[in-house]
Order: sequence, then structure tokens, then C-alpha cells
Amino acid sequence: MNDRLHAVYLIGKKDFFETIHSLGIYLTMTLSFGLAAIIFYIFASQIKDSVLVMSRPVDFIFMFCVVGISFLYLAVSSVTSIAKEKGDKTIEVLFYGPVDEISFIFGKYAARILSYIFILLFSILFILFSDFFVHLGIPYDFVKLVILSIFLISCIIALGIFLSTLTSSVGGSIVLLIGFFVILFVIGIISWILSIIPIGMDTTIDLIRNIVVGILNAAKYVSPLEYLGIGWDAISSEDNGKYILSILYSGAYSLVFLMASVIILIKRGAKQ
Amino acid sequence: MAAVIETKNLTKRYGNFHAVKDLNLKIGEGEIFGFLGPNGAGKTTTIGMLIGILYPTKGSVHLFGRDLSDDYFNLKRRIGVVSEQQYMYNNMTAYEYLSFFADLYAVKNKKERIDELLKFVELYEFRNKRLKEYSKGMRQKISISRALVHDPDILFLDEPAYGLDPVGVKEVRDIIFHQKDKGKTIFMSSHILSEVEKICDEVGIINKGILVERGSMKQLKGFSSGIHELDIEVDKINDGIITTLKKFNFIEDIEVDGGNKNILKIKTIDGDHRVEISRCIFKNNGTIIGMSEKKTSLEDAFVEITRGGVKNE
Repeated sequence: MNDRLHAVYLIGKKDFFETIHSLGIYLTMTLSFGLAAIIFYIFASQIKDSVLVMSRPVDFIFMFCVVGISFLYLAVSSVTSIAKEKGDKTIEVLFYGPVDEISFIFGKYAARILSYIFILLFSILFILFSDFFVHLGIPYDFVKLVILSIFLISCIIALGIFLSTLTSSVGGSIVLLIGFFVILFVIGIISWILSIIPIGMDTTIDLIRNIVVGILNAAKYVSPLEYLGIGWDAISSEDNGKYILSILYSGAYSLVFLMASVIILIKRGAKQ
Repeated sequence: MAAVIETKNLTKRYGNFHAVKDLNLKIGEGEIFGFLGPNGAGKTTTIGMLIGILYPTKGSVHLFGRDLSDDYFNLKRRIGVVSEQQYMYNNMTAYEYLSFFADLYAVKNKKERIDELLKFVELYEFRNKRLKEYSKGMRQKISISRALVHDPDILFLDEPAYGLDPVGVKEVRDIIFHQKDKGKTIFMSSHILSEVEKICDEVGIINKGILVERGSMKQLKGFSSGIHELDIEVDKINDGIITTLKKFNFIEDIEVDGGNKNILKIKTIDGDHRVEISRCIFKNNGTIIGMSEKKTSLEDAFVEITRGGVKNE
């Protein structure tokens, strides 16, 4: 096996086994399945009373309960992954051996993707099992949604790893993650406020609006949530072109952030 | 002897601060090289660059005649590193930890090799205990085992005996000698100068990022300004002895011990002059009862070299 792939495989395997031997992933699955069970029950009652208005309820349950909760869990897991190694200085020991920045970053990434697939397998079994009793109906393109979800989750993992390379403490990395989403949220709020002000009232406000709209457009590309939205739209509208585009966007997004992480790690060095 | 470690103008700068400046080193195969220097002199930074976890600002590192960046993975498989602090995956057992690194280095007969090492460092019976439960000495032994798991050709040791008790220090020394017997090259930094003196063939002293002295242990001790200090016990010291001795050019200083009137304290330069001094005392009717020479230790040389400032500056 290629030297770098060998290192990716071993780092990925180590982190993956650490993850499945820790409590976090099982708490995530418990929360996810618990919430899904409640929603299944609600939808089942609505079917019984013939008042269910939602199309594709299983897709909704999957996206909300499985992808949504995994998104949060893997965001935290990714953003703390490298920061913890840097904080404990175990990264240094890894780099004593045949490990370079690329194999390290991609090993971390692979472990988290595998963790999601692990969650996914149990989630699919849970959904199939629940639907056997509730009969909400599994849509024919559910597999497409499952595949898309891996790419969407890949975005948050890549972003989390990137943020993790910027700091050397677990606490700092979580603050960075929260800060990142707070900034996106604040931009969204300001944009909404500006959107309710009529155009042409004040040139300064118009200028601010244009700047914020520009920032918001740029922020679209750094927010993994944007890709989640695009993917969901593609599935809902059964637009195959948009679906493939969404996968390509997510793949490119992940690659860009992973390569940026490699560059930062090279710049800052494994020795902190 | 072919150089297995070679640096050319190796430099690491942080802003305007030179952590290491124009370091040129050549270390031969099978050599044990001691790298000394005061705190903050640039030892760990140098090791960091030699093992490829720090990128030099300028200059190059060659291991086995090849640039680290040209053959990164193969060269990394030929080196082992023990750091000052033991950074470990504390939730792993000793066996799991060594197994992970054995896989990383693609060690054949992994289980046999790990068992052999754990028995060698006398931790075999604790192999299934988590590393967080290990004492400092045990952790250092595991660090050394990790560095040796792939039987490297060069061993880099950064303060390997730091914080260990005397038994631990001796055990580390024995491991180093064992590696030397196997023909391995060892690059070691240490604050324990007595250990360096016992172990190393060659020593380099770095101060303020610059290599200020390099040589064999004998050469470095000789650096210590060449002053020999003699304490000579004479049955009866008379003025004739002192006046005659003072006429010798090689006598730097002479005094009679304030407390014991029969002891002459003499400092000489330019080599060993005990014979001339003995004859002089005898000719002036004195009888030598005892004579002792203060030996220059590596510590003396180290203090003198580092206090004396940077020779090449």
C-alpha cells in the first residue's frame, strides 16, 4: 500500500475505533432514534386521522433526526479532533513516524466519515424497522438521500477539521465553531433587517445593504448548511441535475477545506 | 565514516529571533552524539528540524545522505524519537499503543517484536494496563519502546532521562549502550552532563542558537582553558620552595592553604608539570606527602564554554 494511504488508513482506523468505544456516538444515536420514534408516532397518528399533510415524511425524519443530529455531533467531533491532538501533543509523536500533514488530515477525515456511516447503518435499520409498523412509506429515492447525506456531512467534517487546525485547545476549537455559526447567523439577521427597508430611502443604507448582501453571498459558500439546503431542494424537486451538482459542490467544498487544513498544519508545524 | 546526519546552515527563525542559526553538523554511523546547551539554547528546535516536525527557515537536513523532503516516508521509518515529555494516547494499553506504532512503521512479526521490547524494558506484565495508570518512569520506557519498535538506524533522544530516578537513569543508559552495541547512531540532548560524559563519543555545545563547540569528550575537557589545579601536601613549606616555584613560567598562581599550612595550592598552564614541581620542592628540602589534581569535568567545560559566550559569533 502507498505510504500515505497506509498512514491515512491507520490514523482513520485508530480514531474510528476510539469513536465507537466512546459514549458520544451512542448518545447521539439514542437522541436521534428517540426523536425519530416520537416523530414516527406523531405521523402515524396523523395518518390514522387522515390529517398528514407532509409529503415524504420519512425523508423529513431522516434529514431532521439523523442528518441534523449527526451534523451537530460530527461538527463537535471534527472541530476537537486536531485541537485535542495538539493540546495533548500526541500529534508530535505521530509525526515522528511516517505520517505527514496530508495523511494526518485525511486520516482524521476518514475516521469521521466512517463514524457517520456507522450511525447511518443503524439509522437505516431503525427507520426500516419503524416503518414496518407505521407504514409511512419509504420513498423510492431514499437511497439518493442517504448518499447525499454523506456528502453533506462531509462538508461539516471538513469545516470542523479546518477550524481545529487554527487552535491548540479543545475549548478554543468549540468557541471557534460556535463563533463561526454565530457570525453566519448575525449576517443573516442583518440581511433580513436590511431587506425590510425599502430601497432608495438612504444611500448609506443602500450601500450597507449591498455590502451585506455581498458578504452573505460569499458566506453561502463557506456555510455547510447552504449545501444541506441545496441537497434537500434537489431531492424534493426530484431534480437529478441539481442533485449531482449538490454532490459535486459538497465534494469540492470538503476538498478545499481539507487542503486548507493541510496548508495551515504545514505552516504552523506539528510541533506546537 | 559516512555521515548519517548532516545539516548545512540549518536555521530556524521566529520573527527576528534566531532559535538556531547556521548549524553545520556531521554525525557518523554508530556514533553517540551528545547535544548540550543551556535552557532555550536551541536543542529541541534543532532536534525538531532533524526529525522533520519543524521546517527550517533556511538550510537543509540530510539523513543517510538524502534530504528528508525527498524521501520522507522511507527516512522516517529509519529514525526513532524519544521526547523529553511522554505524549501518549492515555486510554490505550501499552500493547495497543506499541501495536499502533508497529503498524504505522509496518513492522513484521509485530507481536514478537512488542513482546521482546516489553520484556526488555521489564513492562511485559503491565502490557494490558492503560497508559494513564503508568508512572513517569514506566511511560518513559514505553516511549523508548515506541521509538525502538521498528529497530531504527538513528535514535534521537531529547532529554531521555528527564525526571527519572537514578535507577531509571541507569536503565535508559543501558538501553542506549545496547543500541550502540547494535551499531545504531544516537543523537542525544541532555541536561545530565554526567550521563553525557558516560555515554557520548562526541559532544556539541549550542548556545543562543549557535554551535559554539564540538569535539570528542577529551577535546572539550581540554577546552577548559588548560589550567590544571594541584593540591600538594608538603612536610614543611619554606620560602625557598615558593620563591623557586614562582620563577616557572607555567605557574599561574600559587598559595599556601589558609587552614592547613602544609598544603600548596598551585595552578599551572600549558600541560602537565607535576614532575618539575616535585623536583623543585625536593631540591628546596621539602618532602611531598601527597598530591592531587583536580580533574576537569564536562560540567566545567560546559560552564566555561557557555559562559564564555559564542566563539563563532
